[in-house]
Formats: sequence, C-alpha cells, structure tokens
Amino acid sequence: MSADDLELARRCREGDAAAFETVYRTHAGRLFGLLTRMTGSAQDAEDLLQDVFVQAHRKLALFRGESSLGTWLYRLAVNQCLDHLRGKQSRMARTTDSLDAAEAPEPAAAVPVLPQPIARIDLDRAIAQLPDGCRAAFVLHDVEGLDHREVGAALGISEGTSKSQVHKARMKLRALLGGGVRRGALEAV
Amino acid sequence: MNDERTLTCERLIDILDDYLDERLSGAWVRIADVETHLAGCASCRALAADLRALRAAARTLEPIDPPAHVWRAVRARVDQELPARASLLERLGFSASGWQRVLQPLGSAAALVLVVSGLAWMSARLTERPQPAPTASAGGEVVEFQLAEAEYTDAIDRLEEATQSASPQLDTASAEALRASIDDIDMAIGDARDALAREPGDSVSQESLLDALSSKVALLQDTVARLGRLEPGTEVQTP
Repeated sequence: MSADDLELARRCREGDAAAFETVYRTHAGRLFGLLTRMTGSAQDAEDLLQDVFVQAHRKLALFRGESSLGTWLYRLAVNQCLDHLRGKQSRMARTTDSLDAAEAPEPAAAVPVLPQPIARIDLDRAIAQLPDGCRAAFVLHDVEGLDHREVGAALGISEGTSKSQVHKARMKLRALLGGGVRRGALEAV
Repeated sequence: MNDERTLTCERLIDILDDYLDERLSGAWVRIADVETHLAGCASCRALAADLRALRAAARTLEPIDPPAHVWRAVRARVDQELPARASLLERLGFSASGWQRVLQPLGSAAALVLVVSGLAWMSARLTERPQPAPTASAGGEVVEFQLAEAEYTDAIDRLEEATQSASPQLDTASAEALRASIDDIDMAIGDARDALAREPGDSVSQESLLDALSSKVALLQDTVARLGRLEPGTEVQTP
C-alpha cells in the first residue's frame, strides 16, 4: 500500500474528478481484462466495469489503505463479476453439464497439437468459448495466479472442484486450439 | 498385469495437472515415476507439452484497455449520483445552513469543517449500509434489514450517551438548534417505522429508515467528536 493510494482516495472522497480519473486510468485495463475473461463477453465486461467504478466511488470513503488500491478494486471487481455469474447460475449448470457430456476420453495424439507458442489472441478467443463455471476457475487459477484454495473460496466451491474445473478448462482449450480454432466462430464471440 | 501403483496413462492424466503445477509432493506417485512414464509414452508426452504451453500462454495474457465510452459512462453515473446524495442530506436537515445554525457559536470555520466532514462521513455510511444480495431469499432480506437497524440503534444509544456528557459545552442556542435537527431526523425515523408497521417488507420504507438512522448516527458522532476539540483558529480543510 502506498501513501499515493491514500492521497488519491482522499482526493476522490473530496470530489476531485481528476483524481478519480487517475484511479480509473491506472486500474481499468487490468480489471477489464479480468472481467472480459471471467465473463467471456466484452459487453458484459463493459457493464461490470462501469458498476465496479461507480461502486468504488461510493465506497472510497471506506478505503483505509489496509491493502493497495489496486487490490481493493480487484476484490470489488471479482465480487461484482461473481454476482453476475451467479445470476446466470442455472445456465452455467446447463452448459457445464453439456461440457461434461461432450467430454470424450483425452485425445491420444502422439505429438503436441497446440502451436508453440500459443498466440494470445487465439487463447483469449478460446477462453471466451468455455462454459462459465470452468472458465471462471481457469481465469482465476491459470491467468490470475490464485491457488485452488483461493479459487474455491472466491467461487464458493471446494478445492477439489476447482482442480476439476481447471482441468476441464485446459482440456477444452486444448481441443479448441488444437483442432484449428474455427476463425469464424471465434471472431463472432 | 497392473498393480495399484502402476502408472497407466489414465492415472497419469489424473495427476498431470498437479505435476505441471508442481503440486505433486505428498501424492501417491513420485515425480520420477511421472517422468519415466512421459519418456516412454508419446501421447502423454504430447498432452503434457500442450498443457505446459497453455499454462505459459495464460500467464502472458495482458490487461485489455476498455473502450473510451466506458469511462464517459462511469463519469456520467457518478456525476448523476452526487446531487442525489446531497439532496438526501438536505432533506434530513444536513444542509450547510442547518449546520451553521447549529454551530454558529463555534465559529464559521468550525462549522465548515463539520459540514465537509459530515458529508464525507454520511456518504460512507450510506454506502456501507448492508445491501441484500440479489439472490437472497425474502426471509434473508428481512433478517439483514433487522440486523442493520439493530446496529444503527445500538450506535445511536451509545452516541446519545456520549453527547449528553459533551452537551454542557454547547450554549443554549446551539443546544436548541441541535435538538431541532435531531427532532427532524427522529420525525423521519418515526414516519419510516410507521410505514413499516403498515407494510413490513416495503423496501422503500426500509431504505428511508436506514437513511434516517445513519443520518442520526452521523450527526451525533460529529457532534461528540467536534465539540471537545474545536478551537478558534482551527485550520479549515475544504474540498
């Protein structure tokens, strides 16, 4: 936590629009990346990012600097995103079920099927195609670097379920990227 | 024939994520066993290489700049909310003139400090107030509201006690003005409670009650905090 964070928060509380814009410009990219990958939808991520910063503006009076402003905003964004995903819970259950049903035995290719290295843009497009449940676990674990205990706590699932969801996501991504990701379908995401 | 400890392809896939995530310690299989299997099995080796590539790529994903219109929308929403917050304060007797009326004997500088601090504190309290989760049951919302009301009521009791200790520092006119502001808030509290008695689950009345209670907490807290320490020449912090 830096003194700059506390000073910025103080200026925001006092209605300093430039300070609030600085907070936005500093953190919006990381949060928008997180939200886009967690939801699989740029439109949903835009709406959520708005909500996160409006909520942050209301709550800045409560920011005491126990963590950095970035961490504080990150938690707000994850919580906002999880509320959004819970709202889609029944659909998540259906899509996860369909993933389970569609999951064939692991492909037995004798050579790697993924390009080395994987292009970031292709990976982002493939992540967007994952079912909500395993996508959230994959993003928090493999992209954001949380461990399975933290992912479980964030998503309200057990550590074992987090492992299983991340595994499903990885296998699905291998199938999507290795099968020659269908450009048309991905570009429509 | 395979015994239970033989590392088949099926078993390897079960533990491959742990192996790649370097979490294999303590598992029933040794790292050396995994590596021996990978050395002799092309399909498992290919799978491991692909999963490694995925992990590496995932860690290089970068922030994504949001479109410019998102900031404009955030700014517009924040600007729209500010007058609404201010008008609530005024409706509940927190206008600048009201504060100055209460604190005139302490000097205009002191009054301004109190107005600024009261607004910031009030805003915090408004947003800090527990909000029912979108998926909460109706019963859960009622319990949450009751807990919030109890929390505010308890805070008010403690602050009123403290205010009584500090009140001798107020002259008669200030004490009367403070009393008038508290009476206004008490009236709003009474109205909201009457409405809730008629319709217990009404969210608008619940919100009005919590708003009024938080206003009273703010008024009492600032009164207690400021009365004891404001002196002529206090530096004024303006926004």
